[in-house]
Amino acid sequence: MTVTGGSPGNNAMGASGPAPANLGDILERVLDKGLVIAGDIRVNLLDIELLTVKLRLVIASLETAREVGIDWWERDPWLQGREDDGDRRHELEAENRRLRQRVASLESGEDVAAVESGDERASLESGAEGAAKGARRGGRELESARRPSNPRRDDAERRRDDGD
Amino acid sequence: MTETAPDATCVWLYAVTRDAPPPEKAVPGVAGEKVDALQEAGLTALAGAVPEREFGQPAVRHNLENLDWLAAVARAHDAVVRSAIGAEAAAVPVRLVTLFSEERSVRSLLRERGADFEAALRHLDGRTEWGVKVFGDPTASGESESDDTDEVNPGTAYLLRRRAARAERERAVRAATDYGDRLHARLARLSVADRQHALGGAVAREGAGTLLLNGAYLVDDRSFAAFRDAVETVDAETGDAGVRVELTGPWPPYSFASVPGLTDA
Repeated sequence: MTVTGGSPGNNAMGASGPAPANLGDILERVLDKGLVIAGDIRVNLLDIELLTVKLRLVIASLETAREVGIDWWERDPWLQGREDDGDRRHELEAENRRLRQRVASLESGEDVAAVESGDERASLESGAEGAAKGARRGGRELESARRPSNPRRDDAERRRDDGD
Repeated sequence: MTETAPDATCVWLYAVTRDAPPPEKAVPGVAGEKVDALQEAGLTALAGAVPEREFGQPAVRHNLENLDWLAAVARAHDAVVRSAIGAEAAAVPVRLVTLFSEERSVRSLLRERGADFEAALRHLDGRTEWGVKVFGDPTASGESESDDTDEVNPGTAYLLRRRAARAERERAVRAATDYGDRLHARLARLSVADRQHALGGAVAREGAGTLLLNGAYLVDDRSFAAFRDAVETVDAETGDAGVRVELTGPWPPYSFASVPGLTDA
């Protein structure tokens, strides 16, 4: 058995030996545990986009992070539950769905382009708000690029345009 | 955001306790500052004035992404919290980065929520948090290759072997998870309160194996011997099976610091 931290025989921790050495263990507690006070405070860790902070931290110092064993937050439900990360998760889920459909259609020999184009539009509609403007513009370009492949719809639109 | 004076400070809160730690245990704070014991309504808040330019917004956001900065701050925070805990004295540890604009706000918090802090402290009196991690390597156990596939052609034999290996691996992972659950149940019976922290599939220390259990236990100091025996017994029983048990602590009760109404669920 490995025992880290002060001597387990002596529970008065201030008086006993050194603090547990593993940074990962400490961060796991001081970042995600401990009393959370809501109310008359200026800054709280909750006010800070913690997931972003932690992920960037892992990416920025991957080696150090690995050494101290602190990539636990990547799948931390407390962090995953934050609303401002919802959009990104939706995007990933949409992408996942899209890829599954693509695999399924490839396996069944279906026309991949048809599946892709249908789903792309759906994912753009549910896309992140911040990216919505650009995405919508992109969507229109995609659609206009796709038009020639759909002569019937093209004709109908042309007729409508002519009527105007 | 308004401009702040270069020497402006805000107040970093570490812990709430009943009595200030004795002066000989004085530990510097996250900014190297002297930690003050703010006494109000029979409670003591350990808090320190930290420079706004390093700990205020937006600086703190940026600094949190610096692992070296975060490591130093986390250790300093933990050290101050520990200094508040004595043989008799409990303390409610506060999560990292809890900043007040001034001391007065901390004092009014103690006044307004005094009864809640009192209840939390009573719950923690004479109890200590311990962490138990169990690492295992589910793939280590018997991946025996059977030879009864001689009859079929090599391709089929390969696939059969693959399928058997996969089934064996799945069974081992399930058994390992069950094992973690059983140990947790056993340790939970010996503690006052328990929490299972995220396994995350991670804690990627060299050669550590898969994390099967990451538990936190609030143990009455009088029953700690029994708790430790249970952990040791498990370690001895499983020594050969590629399972490693790690006991960490004593910890300030980070995982059990909840004050109803103050805690964000």
